[in-house]
Amino acid sequence: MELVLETLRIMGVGMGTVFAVIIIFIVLVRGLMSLFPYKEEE
Amino acid sequence: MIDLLNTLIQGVASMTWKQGLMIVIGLVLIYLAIKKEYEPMLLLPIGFGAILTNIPFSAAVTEEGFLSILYNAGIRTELFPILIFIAVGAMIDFSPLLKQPVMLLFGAAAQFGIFAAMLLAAATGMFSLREAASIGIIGAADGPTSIYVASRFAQEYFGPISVAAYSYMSLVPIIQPPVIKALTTKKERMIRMDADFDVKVSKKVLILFPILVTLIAGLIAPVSVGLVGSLMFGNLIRECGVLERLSKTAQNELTNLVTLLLGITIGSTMVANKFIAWDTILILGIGLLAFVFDTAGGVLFAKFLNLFLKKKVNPMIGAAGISAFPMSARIVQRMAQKEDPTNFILMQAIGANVSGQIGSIIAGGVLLALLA
Repeated sequence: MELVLETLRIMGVGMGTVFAVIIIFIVLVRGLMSLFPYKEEE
Repeated sequence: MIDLLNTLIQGVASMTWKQGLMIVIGLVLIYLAIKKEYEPMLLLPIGFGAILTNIPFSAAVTEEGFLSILYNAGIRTELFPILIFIAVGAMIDFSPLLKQPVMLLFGAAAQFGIFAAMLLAAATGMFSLREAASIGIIGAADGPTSIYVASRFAQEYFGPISVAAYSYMSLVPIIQPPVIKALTTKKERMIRMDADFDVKVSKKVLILFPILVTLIAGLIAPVSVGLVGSLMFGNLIRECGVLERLSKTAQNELTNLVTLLLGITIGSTMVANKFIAWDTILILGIGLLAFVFDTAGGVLFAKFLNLFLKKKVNPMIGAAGISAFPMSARIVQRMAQKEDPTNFILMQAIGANVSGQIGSIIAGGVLLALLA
């Protein structure tokens, strides 16, 4: 039972961390895209 | 003379039924690779490796045997998965993702299977927490990540975990459609998604993205640097524009060579006594469920988002958030066109699918960090 509870905790923290990192990446991509827009000469 | 004959037949005489069964399994994998073309680059070497390792007194798996040397040099040291990540990084085009970064969310949601499978494995009471995590990581739908985590946390179950990871990846076209269908209505599967794909990505963004992702992921979870860093290094080689030869080498020669060595080395871990056990059957079963949970997680997350969105997303896109690229995106597109032949959601699905590749290594890194 203890193992299952610990796994549940890791599940919550794990999914939360994955989403948090992904949201940081979304902000990063949006920032990069607006800071360095595509220019025709490229 | 009799001694000589005894020596000659000692292999046949000492063959156990388990070894015989493993040789048959090896032959089945080779059959699937050649006849059905299921991931032939992996299943064929894995199948042959299984045969080599289960021949009684096989010289290939003694201490000085070439398969033991490959295992110690490539798996124990994590070198093979790292090299594969560099090669995969050199093959990934992040543009579809950079054009629609919101797709990254699906790459996160579809990692649900990893944690759900981990919970299931822990609930059986047969595995430790680290072993349960290694079994769960089959749900990353990403062979190298599974190998990387299993080689750290569950060397004992390395064989079944890597075999399950690679086998189920080739079975994605069979596993995903029924799950998607069960969780969506025809109307939902017909949802069209408009997006502006004329947006172009500048070279600066393509170069900065892998560098910044490595820095951010590394600073959050330093233990994930091996995983994320090697993938992004490969991608930087691809995008920098000045290392075309290295990029092509990574995409072709490096991929082929390491895949060949990795496959046969994985096969060599399929030792009869360890492989034919209830644990293995359980791992294979939970691994299959991990893929089901991944798909369900992605689809249900998309449906959840639709509760708040004005412009609905096709929930099938969520299923493409797993790392099996580009199979999953193709399945989603095929299913969408089955309902409406004029519906075209491939680009969105590819965006989600590429996100799945990032999501899976982040999930792997998070597990490594949490259980280190």
